[in-house]
Order: sequence, then C-alpha cells, then structure tokens
Amino acid sequence: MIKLKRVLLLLTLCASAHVFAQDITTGTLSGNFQMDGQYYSPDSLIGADKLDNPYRTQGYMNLIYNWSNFETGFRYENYMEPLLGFDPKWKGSGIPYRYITYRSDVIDVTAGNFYEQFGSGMILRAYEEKMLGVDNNIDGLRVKVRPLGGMEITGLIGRQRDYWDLSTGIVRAGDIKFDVNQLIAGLLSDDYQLSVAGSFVSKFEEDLESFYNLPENVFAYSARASLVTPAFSLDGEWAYKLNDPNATNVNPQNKPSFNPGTGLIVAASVFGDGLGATVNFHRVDNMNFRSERNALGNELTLSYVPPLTRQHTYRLATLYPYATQINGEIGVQAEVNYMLPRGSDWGGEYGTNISVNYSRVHNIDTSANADGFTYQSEFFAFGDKLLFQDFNIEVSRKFSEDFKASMMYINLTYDKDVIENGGAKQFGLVSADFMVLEMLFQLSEQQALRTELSHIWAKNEHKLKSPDNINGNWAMFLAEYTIAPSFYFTLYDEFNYGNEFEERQLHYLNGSFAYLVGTTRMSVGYGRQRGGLLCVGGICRPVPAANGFSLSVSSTF
Amino acid sequence: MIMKIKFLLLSVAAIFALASCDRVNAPYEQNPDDTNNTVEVPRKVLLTEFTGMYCTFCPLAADLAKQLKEELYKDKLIILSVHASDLAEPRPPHNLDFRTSEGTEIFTYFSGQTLPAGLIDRTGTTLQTKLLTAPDWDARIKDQLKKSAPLTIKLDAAYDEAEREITADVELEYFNGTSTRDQLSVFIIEDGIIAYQKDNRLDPPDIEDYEHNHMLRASFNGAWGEQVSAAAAPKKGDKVSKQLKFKIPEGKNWNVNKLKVIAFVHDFGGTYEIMQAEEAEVAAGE
Repeated sequence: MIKLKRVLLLLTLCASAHVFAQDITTGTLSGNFQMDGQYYSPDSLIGADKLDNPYRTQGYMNLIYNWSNFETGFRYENYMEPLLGFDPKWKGSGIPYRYITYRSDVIDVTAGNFYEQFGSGMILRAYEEKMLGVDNNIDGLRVKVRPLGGMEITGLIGRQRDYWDLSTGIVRAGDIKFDVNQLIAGLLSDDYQLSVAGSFVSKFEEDLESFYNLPENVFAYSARASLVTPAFSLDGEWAYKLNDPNATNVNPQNKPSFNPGTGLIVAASVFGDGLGATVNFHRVDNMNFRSERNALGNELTLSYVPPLTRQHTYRLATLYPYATQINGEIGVQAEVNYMLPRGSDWGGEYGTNISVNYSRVHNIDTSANADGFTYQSEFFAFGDKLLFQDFNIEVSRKFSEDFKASMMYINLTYDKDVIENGGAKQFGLVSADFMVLEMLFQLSEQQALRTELSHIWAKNEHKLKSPDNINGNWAMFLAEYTIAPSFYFTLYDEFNYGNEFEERQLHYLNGSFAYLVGTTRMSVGYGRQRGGLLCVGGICRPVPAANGFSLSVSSTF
Repeated sequence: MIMKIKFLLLSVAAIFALASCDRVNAPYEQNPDDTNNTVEVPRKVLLTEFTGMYCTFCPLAADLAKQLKEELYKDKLIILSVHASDLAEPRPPHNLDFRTSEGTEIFTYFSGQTLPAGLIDRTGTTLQTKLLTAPDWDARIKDQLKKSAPLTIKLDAAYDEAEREITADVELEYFNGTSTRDQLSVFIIEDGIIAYQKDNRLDPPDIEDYEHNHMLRASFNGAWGEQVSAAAAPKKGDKVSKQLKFKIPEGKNWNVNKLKVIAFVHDFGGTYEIMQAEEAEVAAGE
C-alpha cells in the first residue's frame, strides 16, 4: 500500500513537472549583471598603502523569471576581495537573495528575500544601495492584501541580511494604506488626492547583556498623510519608537539612552506657471532603529530619514556632504524653482531656469535627567549647535541648439566633527564657498563636449594638528567628450592647491573611457581618486584615497 | 459602508496581533549576574581588544572591558589590547608606536577595519563575523563560559634582569581529545603605560596621560604560536609542558613590574577558536 502511494506521488510530481515545464516556456527571463574591479597602486602622498592583494573585484548577477502570476528570482554575489572602502565582511560569494512571489489583484505573497519601505522609511526601510555597501533585505514572508479598492494591507516577518548571515533580531511589521478618493467615492473632487496610512514595526531580540534591563520587543509606529491638489501638495509623517537602548546612542558614562524615539517630517509644495516652491521641516530624536541593538555604521538599519538638504553632485561640492544625524537633528529646507519664460528679455530664446535652495540643520535641544539614562527635549526648539547650512543658487540656460550652460554657487557650513568624526572635536566648522560653470557643446549630431570648471574655497575652524588630504581650497577641471551612441572619454583633475600642508597640495588626475553597446557598458579608468565620504540619500560611507586602474562591466538583459 | 468599517477594524486588529512591545521603566540597571556555570573544566575567556591611540571611541570600549572584568567576570576574563590599524599609527608629536607585527597580522587576518572591535576567544560562525563591537562582548563571553574547556593551562613567568629575559613555563593538561591543529600562543602584555589617547567624550578630545593597559608588547612564538603536539592529536589525560624564553630587545623601555604573560591554546587553521587561556604576572627573578 505504501509502495502504491509512493508511485502515485511520484506520478503526480512527474505530471506537475511536465505541466510546469510546458508553461514555463511562456514566461520571461530577465536580469542584469555588474562587475567592478580595481588595481590599487601604492601612493604614500595620499595615504594609499601597498596592499597584499592589490587586485580587488566585486560583482553580482540578478536573474528574474516571470511566469503567469508568479515571479521568482535570485542574485548571485561575489566579493572576491571587496574594493577598498567596503567592509571586509563582504568578502565571500553566494546567493544571498532569492524569492518567489505570487501576485493577483487581491493578494501578493512573497517567500524569501524582499525589500520594503513604509512611507518615508522612518520605521522601516529595507533597501539595497550597492554604492554604499548596504543591503538590508529581509529574509522571511510578506503578504500584501487589497481587500477593497483603495486599501492595501501589508504584513511581514523575517530577519535582515547581515553580510553573509542573518540578524539575530526578528522583524515583524505591518502597514495599512488608504487611497481616500478610491475608498470613498465622491468624498473629494478628482482634483484633490488624499491618502492616509499607518505602520508599525516590532523587533524581537533577546537581552543577553548583564548590566541593563533591555526591552526584548521594541515597538515603533508611524502615521502619514498626503494631499495633492493642482496648486499645492502637503505631506506629513509622524513616527514614535518606544525605548530602544542601542549602541549608537550611549552617553559618555557608557550608559545607553532609554528615551523613546520620535520623528516628524512635513513637506509643503506650491506649483504655478513656471514656478515651484517647497518647504520642508523635520525633527528626529533617537530614531536609530536596527534589527540588532548593537549594530553600527550602515549595518542592519530599519529606520531611514530622508535628507533635508540638497544632494549635490558636482565633485568638489561632494567634499562636504551632509549625513543625516538620525539620533538628533532639527532643520528646515526651502527651495524655489522658477523658469524665466522663453522669448523674454531675461529668459532668452529657450528660457532660463533658476533654482534657489536653503537648508539649515541643528542639533536638538536636550537636557539630561538625573537618572543618567534619559533626557528631556523641547520638541520644536533648535539646539545651539549648527550642524549644517547650505545656501545655493543655480542658473541654467540653453543659449542655442548647440550650447547650454549652467552656473552654481554654494555657501556651506559643515560640522565636520559631528558628521565625520563621531563628535570628537578636531576640525570644528568648515566654511566653504563653491562655484561651478558647466558647459555643453553639441559639436555635431553625434559628438558632444561637456566641461566643468569649479572651485571651492574652504576653511576649517581649527588649525589641523595632523595633515589630511581634504582641507583647503580646490580647483577642478573636467572634460567629457561623447561620440554617440557608444564612446565616452572623460578626463578630470582635482587640485588641492590650498591644503594647509604643502606636501599635500596634490593633483588628482583621472581619465576614463566607456563603451556602450546595446544595454552593455564597459569602462576603464586610471588615476588618483581622492578620499572622503560617499553619500546617497543622506547615508554615507567613507571612501579611502586610491591610485590605480579601474574596470567596470554592466549589462541588462 | 458598515461592512467596510468592520473589515477595516478586523484588518487593523490582525496586523497589530503581530506586534508586541516591552516598555522598560526605571530602574534601568540590573545587578550583573555571572551565572556561575558549573562546567566540568571551567575556562578563562580571552578578549582581544583592537585599539589605537587615534581611535576616538576606543576609551569607551576599554571602559566597558574594564567594567566586564572588574564588576562581573573577574579572573575568568583576560584582556589583550592590540594596537592596530591606521588609528594606531604614530603622528607627530605623538611618536610612540604601540603596534606589533603579530598584532597587525592577527587584526588583518580577522578582516579588521574599524575600531574599536574585539574577538571573544575568536569565536564566530564565519571568519568575517568573529569581530564584534564592544556592546556584543558581554553576551559572547557569557556564552563561552557555559562551555567546558578541553584542557587546563598552568602558567608561570619570571624575569631575569641580568639577561633581560622572560621565561614562561606552560603546562597543559587535556581533559578531552582535540586535534593536531592545537597551537599554543604566548604573549607579553604591559599595564600602566601612560601615553596619548584620543577620546571623543572630552573637549578637547586629547588625553596626554591616558593609562593604556593589557597592551600587547611581544610574542614568544609569533602571531599564531607553535604546535602543541606534532606527533599526534592531544587526547584525554595528556600533559604537555613547554618552556619559552623571550629576551627584551635593547632599547625597549618596558616596565617589567607591569608585565604579564598570556598563554592560550587555539584551533589554528580550523575554527581559530581559543579553547583555554591563562594569565600570569611576571615575577622578578632571583
């Protein structure tokens, strides 16, 4: 009887496999591939030491198969030897990401690894950013249900990726979203789009520590709303996290904070003819939330606060990028974009864009309680410490079919001690002024030349006791010559001629060539790269200075 | 509409059923509890703390290590401070170099990059996850103390002033069989070295007279030690005795009254885990 059952089971499986094999041919396979390699030459002037293994490569490939309502995929990663600036813990290879998802109008179910974000991410943002060496995906189960039009409920449980391992903490989370227009038809006119949502995250982690009563279940919740009209939009989100003593918020007596965490983000925008203006405010206090309380750096983060400052892309302006201080900052940002009309005296034949942006971020105002574990903080009070201030104005104009130009001026104040030095007083505030002139010449239908001339005047508040390769004035020239659609040549030089230390007044000359064919891109480069912070969306990682060859290949299929 | 509201309430209730929370009220501290594990062969745990004079958070980690030793684990915890990485590199006017070739080799091998970081008996599931941040040290030490050790170590150290030589006598007694990979490492450490240290808790963050303790000075037998027994894997009942000598190089201004010797046996080339450790003060010779 048992044998018969086994035969039947085998036949059933074979039949299923046969059906699957037939239908599978109707699916689609897609993916992408990237590999980056670098050869590091020693260069004592920039602090680049001789490495035991100067050849470093890392890469990955995603494969995704879609079939009917199903999607399945995986990613193979290989960090043969991680590039400098990436945590050596990445070293290794394997398949850290694999999943299967079923999707229908009513329900989505995912088993395996997935990324997720609730609202702006203040209590949950599981994401991947290869440039930062961040992959906080969750390995577990996720269900999204849409029981009614305009309503979606998400529930998930799992552990976060921790390099080649998983976090010890378990993440349980839920989110409910309402599109009010769709849910209650006729309540609002079609010109007004209103949505409201609420989320929670509960993290479980054992208390294995000896000295404190630590919460094993940490609960956080948030509520958000968004209203969009033809004339303006208004977005707001509030988040609250119950006591979550963790390694990122420890006072000088080594005592962790038992304060709750709070976060408020408000953004308002108005739109008009050629005019757009935005005002943002946010305040975050003790909102560092991770699936392990002792994780540091960019490891195992659950919470994310979008940056309140403009994210500059010009190379010299990235010398002083602001990293969100998630354990305590309060700030405002305002931005106005205006397009001078085409054909007007000021606007010229093609119109002229002007963008003015201002942001200012302070620490929060706190006073410690006698217990040594908690503090008071007046919610809307700005602390006395300026962390970052940025005033910038950008004008861009198309002068003819063959010539476009833009200019930008930035005035920055940057607390290097807080942002880069863990608060240790060493550099003080950095004051910097930056100017750039960017020009684009269309030489022919296929050929174009883009140039950047930029300069930064920068001064540290405190005289440096030991040399570094960042301080002082810099000048930069960049030229990028393109032969469409396949060839790109880039040459740039950054010159730190104003370094306080004469021997560090160095050129960082770099050249690269890229070739594009279809969806494949190959590039090689050679030269010196300066060190500093690399930031994406207010999250940063330190990058050491380097000298040598680089090679990159990427493809999508 | 009523159906919609009912559904909504049910959905919210279902979501929140997943959640739970602990609100902790004062007192936030608890009496530290060294669980007094009763294991067959008690072990001593080695905390290898990587540090550097320009590491601004290292004094915080050193304070925690001190707290773990003095308030909780006492003699069961042995601390070894290894100055390594760029943050330990001398910069004028602080020209003392506390780095050692052995310390740097160990730091590099365990993928060390950021400071402070520590190894607890070099335990961890993968090479890359052995290095822990300071707040994780306590739990790992606690775990280790729950495990019976396969051997005991008896250690004596003496200094011969005329020869400027330290002699370490080590006796190993096995209570369980292990493997031929067992290696014995013997290090010299020094307490009470007064020198510069950065500390981000201070303004300005410079301490000119910081007291550096447990600092790795040298090794009797290299970064990875020497094989306990080349002939066969140690088995229950085996006793191994070794005598090692180290001559303090000329020009090394070490305070011999503050020197200690640390000996430990580890699974070299396997898990790298330390199976037992011991510490002894260096006695003045006759």
